[in-house]
Amino acid sequence: MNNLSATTKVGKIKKLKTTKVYVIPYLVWSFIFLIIPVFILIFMAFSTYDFSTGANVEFTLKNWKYVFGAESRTVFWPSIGKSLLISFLVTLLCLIIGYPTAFVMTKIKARYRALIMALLILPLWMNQVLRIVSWRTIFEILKMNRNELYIFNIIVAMTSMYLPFMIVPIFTVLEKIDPKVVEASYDLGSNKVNSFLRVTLPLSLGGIVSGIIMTFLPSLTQFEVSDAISYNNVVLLGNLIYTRFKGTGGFNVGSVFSLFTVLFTIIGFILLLRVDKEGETLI
Amino acid sequence: MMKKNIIPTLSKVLILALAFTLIYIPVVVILIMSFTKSYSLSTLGLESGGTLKWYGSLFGNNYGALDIAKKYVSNIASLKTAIVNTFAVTIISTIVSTILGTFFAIGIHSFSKKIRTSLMVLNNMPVIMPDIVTGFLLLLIFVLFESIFGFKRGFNTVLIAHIFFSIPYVVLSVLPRLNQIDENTYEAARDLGCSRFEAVFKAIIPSIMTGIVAGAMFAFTMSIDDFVISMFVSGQKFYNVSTWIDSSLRRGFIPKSVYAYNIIIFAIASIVVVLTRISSIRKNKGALV
Repeated sequence: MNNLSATTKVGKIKKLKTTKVYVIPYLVWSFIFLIIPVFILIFMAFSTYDFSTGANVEFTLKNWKYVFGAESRTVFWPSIGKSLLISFLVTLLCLIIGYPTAFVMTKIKARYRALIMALLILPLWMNQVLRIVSWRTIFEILKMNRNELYIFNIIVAMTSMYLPFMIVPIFTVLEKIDPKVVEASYDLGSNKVNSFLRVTLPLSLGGIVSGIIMTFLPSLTQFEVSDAISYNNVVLLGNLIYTRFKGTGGFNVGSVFSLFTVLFTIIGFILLLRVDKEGETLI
Repeated sequence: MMKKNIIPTLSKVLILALAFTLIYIPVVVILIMSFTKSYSLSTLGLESGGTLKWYGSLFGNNYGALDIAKKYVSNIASLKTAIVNTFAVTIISTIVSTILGTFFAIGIHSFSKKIRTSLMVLNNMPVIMPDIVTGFLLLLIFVLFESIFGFKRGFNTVLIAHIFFSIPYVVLSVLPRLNQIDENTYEAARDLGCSRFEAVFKAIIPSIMTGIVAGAMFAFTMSIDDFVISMFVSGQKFYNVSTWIDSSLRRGFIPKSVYAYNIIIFAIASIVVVLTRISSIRKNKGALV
């Protein structure tokens, strides 16, 4: 008996050793393309280093002064404000439309459910830039291309773009909920509303958080939608980063802007880790 | 429990209709515009009548039918290059990221839960990070490579970037399957005389195949439609379809041939996806995603 358990133990250790090795190239890969760049980003934000000349390795707060300095009231803060407002409203709209849609989808017969799911993902095969441009065409036809409507138009186009990213994770989580759990709540005297609020909703929280992150972060940093829909009239956080990267030598200030989005990403990460440790609701 | 009330049924239909209308409006617009004669992007062009010339312009070299300036003809030539570039990048990056992602997932799976969670944080980072940050970070490392090794931006950098953002999706698709298989599969294969590699290839890989296929489909979908990351890392001369449309847009004119191209891709994707769904329903293995 003792002998037998000893061999299985040895076998297990062997197994772990052999397949654990596969992680090493992954770590090297992530180190090169993820960890090092983050350090370059921080370095760029705090220096005046220019890759094209290789000169001026000097640590300074100049870039930060530029971002928060005299121009910040007309450039930086309005862009951040508009970006936050737009992405907040887009996320809210996606949640209000997406949650009931995902909920209704789980009530459909299994065979049709798979097809509906496919229909939901298929538009992602249509080029995203072209989808944005076609929204502009619609606003053009409806004579809605006016200064005061640009932000509204951007919100509509973004909601259409990111809605599937809200529906899919919520649907994935809702589908996994055992119907017996909900039935049990009925048996225990809950009515429909009550059992939804106390059973279904808490159980689908992981999907909601994933959905919110997958819509909020991309819509916060979008630049193509605002460029195309508003004919460059609405400048968002994404546009600020984009223009810095396009112009030569703008990497330093661009890095400061990027650090802001990194900050929002980290917040999103912490939220996600609380509800879904292995990220199973992300796709 | 399933009372056949009209109001709940109606509201169910309405919410589905609202969501799908919002998502499908652009698709319908692109579909209509790919068949209308007008060059203008500010109308659907219904009054200008129907044509197949945009589809025709994608095949062969006969642009006479297009009946416009030379500028447009050179545009279409560059569109064709962009299409070839897109497929080259997407196919290679799908194959590479599927292989790497599968092995990473097997590796991650063999760790204890604690280490696995932190490895998954690393894995999920590119999924959660907005494209613009991923693009900017990759641009920084590529610019560093350029200044040290003279590594020029173009096909190579776009390919590496696509592999980079595809791998996490493969890992996320494969891991749930790994959790489902019997832990002793690998050992059983080893006991029966398989070498370490054979045990992985003959015992583990076949049992997680559905996850691998789903991961590959994910990688393909993400790669073929990528715009932001490609935009950042492609340098000045390399275009895929997305960055090509963007540069046309910034020059103020998008040739409608690209609408036709997108409809063709959409049609192929629809057929493939619907067929795989139907076959997976028949096999009763559930949805792929």
